Amino acid sequence: MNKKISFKLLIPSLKRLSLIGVELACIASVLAVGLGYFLGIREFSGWRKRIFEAPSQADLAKSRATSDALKKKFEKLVPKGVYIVIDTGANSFYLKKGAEIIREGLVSTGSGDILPDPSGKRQWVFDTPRGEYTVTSKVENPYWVKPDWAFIEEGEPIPKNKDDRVVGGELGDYALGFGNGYFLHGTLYTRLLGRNVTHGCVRIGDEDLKFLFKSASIGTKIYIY
Amino acid sequence: MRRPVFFLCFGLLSVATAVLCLGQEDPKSTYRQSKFFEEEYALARAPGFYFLMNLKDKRIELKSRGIVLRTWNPQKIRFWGSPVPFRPLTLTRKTALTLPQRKIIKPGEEEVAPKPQAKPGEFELEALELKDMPRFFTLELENGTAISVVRKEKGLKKLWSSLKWHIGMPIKTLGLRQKKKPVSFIQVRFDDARDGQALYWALPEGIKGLIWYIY
Repeated sequence: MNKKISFKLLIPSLKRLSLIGVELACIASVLAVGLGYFLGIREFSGWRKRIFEAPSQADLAKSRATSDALKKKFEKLVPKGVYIVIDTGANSFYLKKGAEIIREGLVSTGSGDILPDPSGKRQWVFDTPRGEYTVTSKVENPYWVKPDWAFIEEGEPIPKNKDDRVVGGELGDYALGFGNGYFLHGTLYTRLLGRNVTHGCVRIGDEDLKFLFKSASIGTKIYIY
Repeated sequence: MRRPVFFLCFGLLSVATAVLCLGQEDPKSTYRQSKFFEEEYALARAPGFYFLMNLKDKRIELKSRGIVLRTWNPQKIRFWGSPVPFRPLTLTRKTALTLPQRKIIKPGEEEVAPKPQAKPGEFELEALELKDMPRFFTLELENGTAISVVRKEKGLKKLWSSLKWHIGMPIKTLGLRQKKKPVSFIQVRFDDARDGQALYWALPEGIKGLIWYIY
């Protein structure tokens, strides 16, 4: 009987205690968030102060001279003639001169797939290389010398005779080489322009390729991202 | 009689001051420009790409040799924590819930040709494409700065995202302050998820860039 009474008495005090606990937790969290905000906002003001220190007169003259010198240096970095920009994500190309776009169109770039050699000794990643390149060769009516991966991918034996690797007509009418066996070239698969399907080379439609071939010369810069 | 004369003098003085001010250069602006050129030139003279993130103008640029290759204009950029130092910072890691996976070609296996009537963007390819890139992800920089790229949310998701930022960030600040670790958080929001995917695609790990608020 005594036990029952004490238990009944205990329930309201437990309820009260839990309510006080919840209230304290709420107050603590509000205080924590508030303190976090206060500290955060104090740090935040630093974003506006960044590179905002007041310079002295001597510093100012030096800054002016530095700016002028660097502007000239920047001008020297920019290609003098036309240059080619390739966006491998959007599969598009831009032929530009300064900031002006002279021509743009669709391309096909690397599929990003991996081909392992069944021997297990090597593998190929079919990415279009990214970075800054220059046109190193210009070829009309190019032939494709099929590399090992082309045979492995098709499940065919790798020929020992080099002549068995040569294929005509696959690369279109023109090819612009940019090193390590990579080319901007034509394609028979024009429906796939705008998609990532190649083994690393950049495929371009016939008319665009002809225009690029005529506009670019050996040494023309190519930027691939 | 005195009043019109006073106003006339005041007006003339104001115009004269304005004309004088127009001719003068802003010392802070000159200093900032030179500092900015110095830091950018350090990146531009090396081969390869770099990025510039202008938080004030909400603009991200991918550049090489001073040439702008691609520009993104996020709809919203917000930041919290310690200011990001104005020097080239390296992107050390890209993290996302689901990372894009490369497909492995089985030698001799026939590729499934797309249907003749299918349009170029409509058929599936065995390839790693822009659409396979994550729509929300985090770019971690060498100094601990985290740039999270998010998409536009609606309804409850928007509220949750807002709560995460406004309550989560102050609490994080407290935690990091105890560890004495200065960390900056930047959140970039694109209304079109494809812009975020293109950013993920274009910024490889190891790329360097500059982040600043005022220029």
